[in-house]
Amino acid sequence: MLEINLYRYNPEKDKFPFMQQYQIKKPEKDIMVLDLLHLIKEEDNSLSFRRSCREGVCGSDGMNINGKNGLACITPLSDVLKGNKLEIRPLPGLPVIRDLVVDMTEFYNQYEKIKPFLQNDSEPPAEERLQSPKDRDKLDGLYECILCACCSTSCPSFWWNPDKFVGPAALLQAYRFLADSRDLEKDSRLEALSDPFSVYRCHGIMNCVAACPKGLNPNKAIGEIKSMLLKGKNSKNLITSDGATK
Amino acid sequence: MKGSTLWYLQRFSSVLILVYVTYITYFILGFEQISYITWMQFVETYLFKISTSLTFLIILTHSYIGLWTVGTDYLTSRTLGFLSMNLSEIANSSRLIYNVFFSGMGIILYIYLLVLVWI
Repeated sequence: MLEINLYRYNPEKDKFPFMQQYQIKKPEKDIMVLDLLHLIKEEDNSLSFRRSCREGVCGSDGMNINGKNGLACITPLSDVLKGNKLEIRPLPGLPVIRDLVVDMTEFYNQYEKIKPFLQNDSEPPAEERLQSPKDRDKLDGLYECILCACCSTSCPSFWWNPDKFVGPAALLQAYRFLADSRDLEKDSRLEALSDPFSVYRCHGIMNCVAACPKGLNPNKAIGEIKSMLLKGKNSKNLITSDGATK
Repeated sequence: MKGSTLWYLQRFSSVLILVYVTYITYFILGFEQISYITWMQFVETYLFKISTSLTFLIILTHSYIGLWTVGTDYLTSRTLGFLSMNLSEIANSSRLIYNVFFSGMGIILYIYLLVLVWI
């Protein structure tokens, strides 16, 4: 039998959160943590959790599985079981709405702050803004983020200052647009990140790298942003719209 | 103040503190045996007095940035709220007291150092 401890909290009924234990027969095949949650929900349909695509693309089912953030749908049970025990909690640092469902408002507020869209007010070409293969390569490892919040909610700086520190997920996206040769607002993007909190609260502990279920490296992107900020405006690190550096 | 300015201040101050430590270490290791007289001759030089006074100022700057960072991380209504709601309500005043305390301690220590070195 598997001993599963789940974080439970229903603000309409419970004064405080508590851990509830479930005994589940060990499956014959290795299953994902999300499948296990579905097995538990068949027994207790009061359990709440988010899920959608069940293949690591939508980023809905980020949760803390035996102390490490990850996506339940792509985390095999065999990878996380300690003995026959498993403890599942909501993503840390965000307010809990119910059980494993967290309020992501603070996370999305930071994402909104970095203006996650291409800014280019030059005359648009007839068909599309082209990019050289070399410039396109610079976006690899940046655009793949699915905004599951596993990285940001594993970061103590984001726990302490979620309203001021942008957090690894949004900073990865900030660099995705700073590195994009088609974007013309690099100076204003950097200016918006230049205060002592937005970027510099990252102390490089790399929890974000360890937690990212897509294998991305937000810490490296944050390092690149810091370099750009330290070099100042019009530095050689800034890439112009035609792909050249100035 | 910009984040980059604070970043540069912390890094450059670290390097300058290292230079000072190297200077003192070089003096101490340069003698087989340090007597009271050689030590007094050393601390009476203007180079020692000026470098010590400046280095202590640099240490204070470095510490202030570090302690301010710690305070704005751990003495906020959110962070203290993880412990208790009552503590959360006094977070801002706690941080103010904390800032005043370490700033005051820094100023008192600096005045004491100047008295020791120059008088």
